[in-house]
Amino acid sequence: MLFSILSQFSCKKEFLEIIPKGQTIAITTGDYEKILNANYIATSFEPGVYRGDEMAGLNPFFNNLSGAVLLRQQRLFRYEDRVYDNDQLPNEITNVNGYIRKLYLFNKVINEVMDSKAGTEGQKLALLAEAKVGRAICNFMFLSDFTKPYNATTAGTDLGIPNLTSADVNQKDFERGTLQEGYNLVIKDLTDALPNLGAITHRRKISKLVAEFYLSRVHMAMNNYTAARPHIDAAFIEIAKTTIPLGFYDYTIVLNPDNQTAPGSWFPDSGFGLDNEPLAANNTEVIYNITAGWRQLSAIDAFVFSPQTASLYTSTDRRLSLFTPFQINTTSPKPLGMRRRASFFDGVNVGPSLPDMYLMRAEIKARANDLAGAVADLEVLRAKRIAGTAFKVPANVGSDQQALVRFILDERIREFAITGLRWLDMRRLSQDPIYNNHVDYTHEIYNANGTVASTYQLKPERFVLKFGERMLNESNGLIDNP
Amino acid sequence: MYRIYTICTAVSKPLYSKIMLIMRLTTVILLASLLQVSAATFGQKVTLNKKNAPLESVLREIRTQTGYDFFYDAKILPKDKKIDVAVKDATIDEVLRSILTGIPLSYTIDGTIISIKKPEEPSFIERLRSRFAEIDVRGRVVDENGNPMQGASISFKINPRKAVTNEKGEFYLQGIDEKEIIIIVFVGYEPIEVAAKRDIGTIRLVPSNKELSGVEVKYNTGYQQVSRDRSAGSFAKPDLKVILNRTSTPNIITRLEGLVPGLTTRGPAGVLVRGQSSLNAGTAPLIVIDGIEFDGTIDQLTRLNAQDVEDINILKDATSASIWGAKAANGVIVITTKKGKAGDKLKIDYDGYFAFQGRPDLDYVQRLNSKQFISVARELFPQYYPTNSRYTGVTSVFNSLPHLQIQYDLVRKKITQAQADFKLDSLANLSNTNQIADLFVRDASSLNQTISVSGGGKAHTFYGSLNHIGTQNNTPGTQNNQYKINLNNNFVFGKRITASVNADLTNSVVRTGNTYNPSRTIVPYQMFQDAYGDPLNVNYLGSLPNGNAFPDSLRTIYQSRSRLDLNYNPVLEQDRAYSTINGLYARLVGSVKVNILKGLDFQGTYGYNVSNVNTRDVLNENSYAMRMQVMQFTVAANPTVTPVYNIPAIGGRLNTSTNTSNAWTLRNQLVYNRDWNKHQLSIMAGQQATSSTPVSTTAVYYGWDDQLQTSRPVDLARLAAGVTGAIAGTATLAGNNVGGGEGRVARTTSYFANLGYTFDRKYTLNASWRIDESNLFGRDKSAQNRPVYSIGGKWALGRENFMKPVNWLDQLDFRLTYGITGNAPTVGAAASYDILTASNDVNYVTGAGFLLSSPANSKLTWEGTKVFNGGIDFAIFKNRLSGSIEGYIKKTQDLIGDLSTSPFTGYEFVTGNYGNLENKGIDIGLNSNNIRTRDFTWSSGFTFSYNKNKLTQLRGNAPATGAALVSTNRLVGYPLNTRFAYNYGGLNSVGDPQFIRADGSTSAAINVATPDDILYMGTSQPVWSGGLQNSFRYKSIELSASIIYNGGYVVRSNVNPTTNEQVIATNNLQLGFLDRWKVPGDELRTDIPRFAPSAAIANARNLSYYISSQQFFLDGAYAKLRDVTLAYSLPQTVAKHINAQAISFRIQVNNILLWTANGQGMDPEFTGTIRDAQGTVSLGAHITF
Repeated sequence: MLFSILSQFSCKKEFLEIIPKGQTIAITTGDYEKILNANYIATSFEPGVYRGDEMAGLNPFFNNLSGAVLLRQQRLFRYEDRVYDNDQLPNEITNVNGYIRKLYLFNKVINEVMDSKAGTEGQKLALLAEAKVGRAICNFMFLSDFTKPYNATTAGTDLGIPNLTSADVNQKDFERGTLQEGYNLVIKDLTDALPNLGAITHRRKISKLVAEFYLSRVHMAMNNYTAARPHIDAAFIEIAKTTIPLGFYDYTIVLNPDNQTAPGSWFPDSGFGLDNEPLAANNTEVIYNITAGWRQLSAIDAFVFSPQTASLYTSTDRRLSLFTPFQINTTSPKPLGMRRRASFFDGVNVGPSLPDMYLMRAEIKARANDLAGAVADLEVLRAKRIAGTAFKVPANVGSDQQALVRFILDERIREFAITGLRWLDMRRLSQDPIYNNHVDYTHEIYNANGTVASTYQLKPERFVLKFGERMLNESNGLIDNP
Repeated sequence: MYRIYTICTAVSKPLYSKIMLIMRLTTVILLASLLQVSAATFGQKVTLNKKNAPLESVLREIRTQTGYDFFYDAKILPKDKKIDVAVKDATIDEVLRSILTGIPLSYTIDGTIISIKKPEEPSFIERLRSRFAEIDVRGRVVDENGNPMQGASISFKINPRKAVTNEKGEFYLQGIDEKEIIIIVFVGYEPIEVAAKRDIGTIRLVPSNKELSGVEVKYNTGYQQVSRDRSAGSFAKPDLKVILNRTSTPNIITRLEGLVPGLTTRGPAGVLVRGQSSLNAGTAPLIVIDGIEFDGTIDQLTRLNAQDVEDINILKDATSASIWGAKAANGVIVITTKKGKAGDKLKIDYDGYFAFQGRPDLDYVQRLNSKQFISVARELFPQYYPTNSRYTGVTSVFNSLPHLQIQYDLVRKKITQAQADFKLDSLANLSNTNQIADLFVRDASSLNQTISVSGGGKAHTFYGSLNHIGTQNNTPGTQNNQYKINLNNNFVFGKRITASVNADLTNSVVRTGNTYNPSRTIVPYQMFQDAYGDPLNVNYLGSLPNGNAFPDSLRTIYQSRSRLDLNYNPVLEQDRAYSTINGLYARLVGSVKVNILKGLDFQGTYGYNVSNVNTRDVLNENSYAMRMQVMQFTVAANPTVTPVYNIPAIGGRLNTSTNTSNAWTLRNQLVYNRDWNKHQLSIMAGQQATSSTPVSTTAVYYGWDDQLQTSRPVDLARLAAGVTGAIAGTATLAGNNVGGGEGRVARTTSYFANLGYTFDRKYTLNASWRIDESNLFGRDKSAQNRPVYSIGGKWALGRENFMKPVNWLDQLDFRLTYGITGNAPTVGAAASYDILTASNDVNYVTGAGFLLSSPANSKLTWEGTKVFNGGIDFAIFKNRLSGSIEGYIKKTQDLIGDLSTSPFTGYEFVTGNYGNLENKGIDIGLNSNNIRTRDFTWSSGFTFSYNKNKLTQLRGNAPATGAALVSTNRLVGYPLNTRFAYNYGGLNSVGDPQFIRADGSTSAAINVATPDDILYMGTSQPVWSGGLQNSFRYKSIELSASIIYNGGYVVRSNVNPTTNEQVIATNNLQLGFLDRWKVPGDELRTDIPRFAPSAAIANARNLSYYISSQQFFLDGAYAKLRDVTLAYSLPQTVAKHINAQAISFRIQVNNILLWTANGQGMDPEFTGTIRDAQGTVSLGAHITF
C-alpha cells in the first residue's frame, strides 16, 4: 500500500518533463527574436587584413611571430598556398562568431520560426526575413574567402560553396555548387527578405537598409554597377527612416591630436588605443555591426600600412589619428611613415557603414559618369575627415572619370585601411577590365631602417583560400581549391 | 561456523520432544515458557551464596541468573532436601555439580535446557545391553597452544544432545551410544568430529582462518545485504583497521590506497575502480553512504568521519553494481555508518590524532641560485639585447625587473659600468629562499578528534559522534576547521516494523588570508623584507587588472592621475584581504522496514542531502586588487584635474556568494526471502526517484567597510555601459552586482529488480534488471531511457562431496557474471534540442537575448559498459591462506565526448557518442595468517591490480603530424593517457635539437615530423598497482606496515634544463641549463640545446624534439613504504584506573622508504617541481569508556 502510494508520487509523467533552469529551448516566436537579439557576426584575425595590398610587414616583429595564429598571419601575408597544416581546420570556418557558425543559427530560425508559438504571422515573417538577410551576409562572406572573384563568363562553371540550409550537426555531405549558384543564393535571400524588413532600430538588428546595402555590395562584387545602383539609392532612402542617431563624426574635431580635450574627443591615446572611441552599439556611422577583431599584443607592430598607403593621406587627414606611427610603449616612429592601428583590443567595424555607403554611391555614380554627383558624395565624407580645405576633391580629378574612380578607390583605402575591406575591393578589381591595375600584387616586409627585407607576389589563384586536407576528410563531396 | 549454527537451530525442536519421550515424564514442571529461547551464551557466570536452601529454590535462582531452563520430573527431587551452596562467578556446570553432590541425580545441558534426571533402575537385560551399547565418555578440549577451552560445545550426531566443556576444557557424559559421533564446536575454530569412546583424551582445535569466522560475511550493495555465500558478484571489503590508522588525510577513499584489488588512487584519472571507463562523463566511482548516493565529489568525502564508518564495500562487476544502473560503470563504493548496539551501559569512545605534515620541498628540482642567475643574466644579455633593444618593450612584457633595469640602464648610459657591476653583484648576494620560507610558508598539520556514544535497549538503539578536524595547511593566514555531528537512531516498533533515522551534519569553516603564493620562478634575488625587517614593495609582481604587465613608467602616470598608491607589497597584502567559506552540509537518511508476510518485507529509504556554502571575499580599501579596480574606473584626464572615482575610493569590496544544493532520494522496495529444503531464494524489486537542485546567489558590494559592514552605492548602469576616458582606457564592468539563480535540476526515476537463488548452498544464480529515466537529455523521451541488466552464477565446488577428500582445501568457489552498466553524462552536457542560455551585453539589441550554447544532437545516448567477470575464491591449509583471483573485461560503448562533425555544420564537434573503450584486468587479493600464537601473531594482506586499457574506437581525427601526435594523449589502439615522444637525434652544429625520423635520418627543421617518426612511450596511468600489509602483534603491542606500489606506466621527468626565453626575466632555469650548448663543437659534449636569444631563432627550431623526446619519459614503477604504525594498548588494570575499558596509543610514520625504477631518484608521485614533505609523523590515541 505504502509502496504504491509513494510510487504514485514519483511516477508522474511530468516528473522528467522539466527544462533545467538557466537554459531553455526555442518554442515561442519571442524566443527566436531573443536568439536574433543576441546574435552578431564577428571575425577574428580576418584573413583580408593580412592580404590587403595596403599592408606591409615590419621586421623584426614580423619574423618574431610564433604560434599557430601568428604563423597563419605570416603565411597569409606571404600569399602562401598552404595557410593551414594538414591537420588544421581553417580559422575562417571554425570561428565561433564567424559566418559558418552563424549559418547554423540563421538556418535554425529560417526553418523553425514559422512554426513557433504565440507570435503573429507578421512577427514571424519579420524574423524570417532578418534571418534570410543574415544567411545572405554569411554566404557572401563565405564566397569571398573560398571562391574565385566573380567573373560572369566563368561563374557558371567555377566552384561555388556548399548550399547550407539546415541546422543539423549530423550532416555529412557538402558538395559545392557553381559560383553563379552561390551568388544567386545570396541575391535571392536578400530579395526575398526585403518586403518584410523594417527600418533601422539598432546597429545589430538587420533592417531593410542592411539588405539594400548588401544587394548593392554583392552586385558591385559581381562588377555589375548598374544593378548595384537602385539598391544603394534605396539604402539612402532608408537612412531617413532611422529611429537611432545616424551621422558622421567630425574627425576634424574628435580626432584632432592638437585639441585632445575638445568635447567628444576620442583622445587620449593610452598607448593601447584611443580611450574614448565609441562602442559599436553607439557608433553613429555604423549601420550593421560586424566586428573584425585581433586582440593581439604580440603582433601589433608586425603589420602596418605600407609607405604607399601612407602617401595617400594628406597631413591634415585626421583619419591618421586612428593609426599610430609608434612602436607600442615607445615614441620611436616606424620608418617611411608606416603606421599600425592604434586600437586593437575591441576590433573595428567592417559591416555596413555610412562612409561605405557614400563611397559606394560615389563609385557607382563615377562609373556611370555622374562625376559631379560622385564628387559631392565624396566631399560629404571628406569634409568630416580632413581639416582645412584639403577635403576638396582636386579639380583635375573631379573632371576625369577614370581618375575619379581611382581617387574613390584610394579614398576607400584611406577610410578602411587595415580592416580587410580593401581585400574585397582587390577581388572585384582583379576582374575589372579597366581598373585591375589599381591592385598592387606585391607585399613587402621592411627592415627597421626602411629597407625592403623581402617581397612576395600575389598569384591570381590565391584570391582563394584552400580548405585543407582535414576539411576534405570531414566533408563528403568537398573539392578543394587549386 | 554459520553452517553449524543453522543446523543446530533447525534440529532443536525435535530434540525437546525426544528428551521428553525418553524420560516418559508424568509431570513436568516447566520453569520457563517454551516459547522463550534465551540468547544467553555458554559460560554464563553464577554467583550463589545460600545456606540450607531448598533445592528447587536454588534451581530457580540459577535460572534467573543464567536464563537456562530446567526440565525434570518433580518427583525425583528429594523432598525437604536442604543444601548449602557458595560459589562466585562459577559456570553453570560448576554450580550444578556443586549442588547435586551427594544427590543421586545427573544432568545434561542442551542449549539452554538443563535436564535433570534420576539414574533409572534398569532391568537386568537392559543393564546388560547398556553394558555393551552405552558408555560414559570423557575428554578434554584445548586450543592450538594447548590451553583448555571452556565453553566448547559438544554435540552428537545420532542422538542429539548437547553439553559444554568446563573451565578445564573437560567434558564428561554418561550413557552415550558406542557408535555415536561427537562434534566439538568453538567459535573461531574449525569444528571437529571424533568417534565416541570412554576416554577420548585431549582434542586440539585448530583456529579457523576465515577472517570473520562465526559471523556470516555480508556485502552491502546499498540496496540490500547480500550473503557472500550467495552472491556471484565481485565485491571487496578493505581492512577497516588499516584505514582508521591512516592519518595522512581525513578522506576515507584516499585511505583505501593499496587495500582493495582493482581500486587505484594514483594517476592522471584519479580514483578508479577497474580502469577508466569514460572519457568525459565522470570516471570516479559512485559513492553511496547508507544507501543514498553521496552528493559530492570524492575530495569532498572529508565530510564523512572515518570513525563513524562501520563497513565499506566496493562493488566492481555488473552483478554487484548494476543495481545502481546508469551510474554504475565506474564501480560503486558503498559505505555504511555505525549503528547503536543495545547494551547495559553506554559505550563511549574517544579517538584523536595529531598529524604533523611539515613543509613541502619547494626546491625539489634545483634551480639557479642568485649568483648563477645573475651570472647567466650577464652572460646572455649581449645575446638577446640586439633583438630586444627597447627597454619599454621589455617592460611591457616582463615588467620592471631590477636586474633588467640595471642592464638596460647601462646600455642606455644612465649608469656606469662600475655602478652596474656593483648593483648586479649585490643582487647576486641576495637569496630569498629563507624569506619565502619565513613569510609565505608554514608547517602543515592536522588535528582530528572524535568522541562517540553508543547504546540503547530493545526498542531503541543509538549511535552519535562529535568530530572536529583542524587542518593547518602550508599557507600562513589560513584557518580550516570542520565540525561534525552524527546521530543514528534505530527504532523497533513491535515485531513487524523497524525504522531508523540518521542525521549527519557537517560545518566547514575556512578562512584564507591574502598570502602571496611564492613561486620559485620569480628571480631568486628578490627580497620581501629589507635588512630591518620592513616589508618591501615588489611592484613588478603586481599586474594590471587585465593581467598584463604594469611597468613602472605606466605606474607613475596612473598614480599621478588617479592619486592612488599603486605599489604592490606582497607582505603587507597578506592582511589586506581575506575570504571565508562557511559550508553547512546535512545528510539525512530515514528508513523503514515493514514485515508484511512471512519472508516479505517492505523497505523504504528516504534520503535528503542539503548543502549551503557561503563565501565572502573581502578586499580592504588598501588591498592592491581594490586600488587597481578603483584606478581602472577613475576618470582623470591629467594629474591636475580632480579624479572622478566611479568606484568608491573609500572602502573596499565584498563579494558574497551562496551556493545551495538540495538533493533527495525516495526508494521503495519489496524484499522477499525464503529458505526451504535445499532452496534459498531472495527477490527484491522497487522503484526510486531522485532529484537535485542547485541554487546560487552572488552579490558585490562596493565601498565596503568590513568593520561597520556598510557599502556605498555605485552607478552600475554607467559602469556596465563602459566608462570612457578612464585612466587605463575605457573600462567596462562585466556583469551585474547581483546574480545567481536556480541551477540545472537533475531528475531520475528508476525501476529495478534483483533475484538471487541458491540450491543446496552450492549453486547460485543472480540476476538483476534496472531501467533509468532521466531529464538529462532534454525532452526527447527516447533518449531518456537506459535499461541495464546483469546475470551471474556461482558454483561452490569446494562444497561438493567429491571434494571432501581434499582436506587441505577449505573453500573453492567459481563465479561468472555478465551485465551492462551505464554512465550518465553531466547534467546539461548535451541534449536533443538546441540549448539556449540567456546573455546580456551592452551591444545586443535590447541589451539581452539568447545564446545557442550547445547544438542539438538527436543521436545521443548514454554510455554503456558491458562487463564480464570471472573469479575464484579459495581458502587452503585450514584457512591459513585465503584469497580471490578475478579477471574482467569491460567494454564501454557510445563514449560521450566531442564527436567530430564537419565544420560546415557550424560545429567542428558536438557532444555525442564518439568512441569505444576496453578495459581488461586481473584483481588478486590474498590474506594469510603466517603465525598465530596467543602472544604473537603475524598476518599479511596482499593486493594486486592489473588493468589494461585500450581505446578501440574514436570518431575523431587522428593526428596528422608528428607534432600533433606528440601532444595527443589518446589514440585508437592505445591506452588512454598515452604518451608519444620524438626520437631524439642530438644537437646539430648550432645547438638546436634534432629528431630521428623513421628512416634513420635526422632533422632539426620545424613542422616536418610525421606520425611515423614518433615513438610510443606508454601510458601515464599506472597499469598495475597494489599494496602489501603486514601486521604483527606481540601481546598488546601491534606493529603494521603498508607498502604500496604502482607500475607499468611512464612519467614525464621533472627535469627541463632548457628555455626558450629571449629575455632572462624569470627563474625557470634548472641547473642543467649551465651545461647547455654554447659554442660549435659543444654538441659532442652535451645534448642540452642552446639558449635562443631571439624569437626568430626560437621559432625556427622545435625545442620539443629535445624536451618531448624519449629520454624524458621515465619508467614510473615504484614502491613506497606508505606508513608504519605502532600501537600499544594499556593493560586493563591501568585503564580501569581512569574508569576506561581500553586505552591505546599509536604512532604512525608516513612515506618512509621509496624504491623507484626511473634511475633519477625522482618520486613518481611528484612530477612537478615541488614535493610534499615525506617521513611525516602522527600520534593518536583511542580510549573506550
